[in-house]
Amino acid sequence: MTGARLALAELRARPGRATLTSVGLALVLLLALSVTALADGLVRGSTGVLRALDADVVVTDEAANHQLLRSRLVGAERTALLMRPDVATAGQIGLVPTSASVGGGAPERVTAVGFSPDAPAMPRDTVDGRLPRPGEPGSAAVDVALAGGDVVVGDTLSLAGEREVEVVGLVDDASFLQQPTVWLGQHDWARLRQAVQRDADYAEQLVGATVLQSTEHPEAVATAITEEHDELAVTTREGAVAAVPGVSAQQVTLGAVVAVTLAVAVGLAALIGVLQVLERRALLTALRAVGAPARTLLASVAVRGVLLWVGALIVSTAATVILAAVAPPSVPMEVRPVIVASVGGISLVAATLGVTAAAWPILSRLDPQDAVAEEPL
Amino acid sequence: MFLGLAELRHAPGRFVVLGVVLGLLVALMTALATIADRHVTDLTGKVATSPADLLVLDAAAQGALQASRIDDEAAAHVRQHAAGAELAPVGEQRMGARVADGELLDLSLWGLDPDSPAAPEVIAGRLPRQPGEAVLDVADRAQGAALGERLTLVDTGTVLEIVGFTAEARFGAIPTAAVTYDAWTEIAAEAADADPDEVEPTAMAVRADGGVEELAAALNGSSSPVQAAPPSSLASQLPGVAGVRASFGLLLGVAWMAVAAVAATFAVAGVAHRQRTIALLRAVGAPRRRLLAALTVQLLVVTAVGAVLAALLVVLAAWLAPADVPLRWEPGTWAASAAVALAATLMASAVAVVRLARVAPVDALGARR
Repeated sequence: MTGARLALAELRARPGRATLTSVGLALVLLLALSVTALADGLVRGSTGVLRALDADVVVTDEAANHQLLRSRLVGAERTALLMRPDVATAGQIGLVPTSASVGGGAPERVTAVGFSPDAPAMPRDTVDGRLPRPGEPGSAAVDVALAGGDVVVGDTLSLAGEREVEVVGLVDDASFLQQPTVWLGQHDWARLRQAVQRDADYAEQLVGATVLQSTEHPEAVATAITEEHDELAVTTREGAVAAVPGVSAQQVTLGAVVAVTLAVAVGLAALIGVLQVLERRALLTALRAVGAPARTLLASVAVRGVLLWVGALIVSTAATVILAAVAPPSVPMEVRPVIVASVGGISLVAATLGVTAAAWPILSRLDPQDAVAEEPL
Repeated sequence: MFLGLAELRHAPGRFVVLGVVLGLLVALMTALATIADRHVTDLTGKVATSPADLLVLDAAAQGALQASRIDDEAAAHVRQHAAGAELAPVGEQRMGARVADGELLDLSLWGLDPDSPAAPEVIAGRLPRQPGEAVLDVADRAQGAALGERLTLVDTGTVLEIVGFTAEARFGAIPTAAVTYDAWTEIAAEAADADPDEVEPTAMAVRADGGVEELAAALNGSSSPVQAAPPSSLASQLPGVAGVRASFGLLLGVAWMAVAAVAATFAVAGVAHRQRTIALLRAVGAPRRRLLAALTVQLLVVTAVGAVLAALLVVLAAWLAPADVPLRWEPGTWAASAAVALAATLMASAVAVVRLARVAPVDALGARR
């Protein structure tokens, strides 16, 4: 407690001295938060379509190797999977890259997702309206990210510059490879696919991946199906998320960048610890001379460092939120509470260790006799 | 200058900590810049390195190759407006593949004729001329690719012999192979269970005898079914490229500010710590300019040491990084990062200079703090 009171008293007495240090800390934390938010945004922006589904196992053909875009499983093939006791229900999705424009506006790249009216193949939630009904032609549910968020239920959407559908619902966080998705019934999807990929015939059934809800542990079900069907590549939804092009490389690369940034933060904390002690060496020596234990002084240094850190975290969180808001739409930064909590928590623990580890060797060697000696220059 | 170096020798501890912090920041800046460059090259190299003057895509594809098909109407439009120019079809399709008996890979398979405006440049071996031949990018040697080795397309069971390597010519950040256009149509048709005649090119490559801008303008006229652009321009419009550049640019900006703030924190704290010493030196006649030089020399030396440490860290990280992490040791990028860090440090020292300038000789006689 004495250490904490000492630290608070000094911060109150000389707040200006802490300002610059806090700015340095805040910038390093801003870097850590930005990288983490960017990594999170990149992964979520590429995998929303999978996370939106209420499925826990994803089946593609073997050559597609868990890639939704490349899989060519036909809807009818899921019947065999439905007979399995470890599969509760199955659905089918098919993905086609194309373009869409809302109300005659500029076209933008989208992924059209054809889905069967089965629970695992449908987005769990709509934020407005509904999904296209089975057999209902000319309707679509769209990602709220389409047209910069300006799309509403009732708008008309032109797909690939030639097929028009009415927006009947909105889904959130369902993008694929950083592009918004448009959810279509089988007929509209097959017509669109035929128009976009002219070497493909009209598909009587959805061509793409089969998604399952299992009755047992998804990993065990995936393994069991893989063992019985050489022609299929089966994985859990998490496995399919990791298999989305670029996701694992982004996670490894940006994870390493986050780790280096946190190492910088620890190094900076150590530097602050050293500077705090050196800057106030005379004062700390005097306190030792009047009986303050070295541990109390260390506690004051650590508490001061932690308080600076907390202040810097608040500033950097606000700065990251502002940065994410003003960044161009092509920068997929998402500042979620879990990111702030994890970066803040890890960096706080690491910083406390850095400050104390760097300050203790100097504090423990302070000689109370120096307080009455002539100050060396 | 000697004053600054003498203090570095006398109390090296805090300078070492600062050097480590700056070294990590410079390493981070170097890594971010390298990863951004390499990632963009991996995403777009095959398009960016195309020798064609123009690449033509389906206008509805909005620059996304995967969504592009040049149908008869679009091909006729190109032939009409590019009369006299050399034209060649280009195909691109994603497939599953194995190099030798290695693990299943995602492959971007291109159809490019060897004597056409779309022909890639090889750095080893030769271009494919027969249906069973392919070239891979040299970056795919990490997957076991070698001249004479087999490349098996899992979707169709097609076995290709690797006869050459391209450089900086990957697409979509995955292994990238090229075969002749006729071979590509056969493979694409088999994969889609279609007739080869039904397979449409993904794009068209155009080589013009001058007047490229005028030709692009003519091809892109109003209500045009196609989008024509030089390869480098098209590469920068590919999905994800703008996002990668903007995201990493933003991170580099923040890292640069962090370098400046860390250096400023240290410099100001250093002046505060040595205020009485500085005042005494001023009292015995040391010019302010000399003290400023000593401070600047210290910061520059520490930043230079940090930059050397950063080089070692990046070399080590590039050596240890998995194959799918696009981190390489690129001296030019490191030098640029180090120069930016030095500039940030000099700017930061200005903050300490203001504080140092306020120290008066009479402070040496002041009460002990």
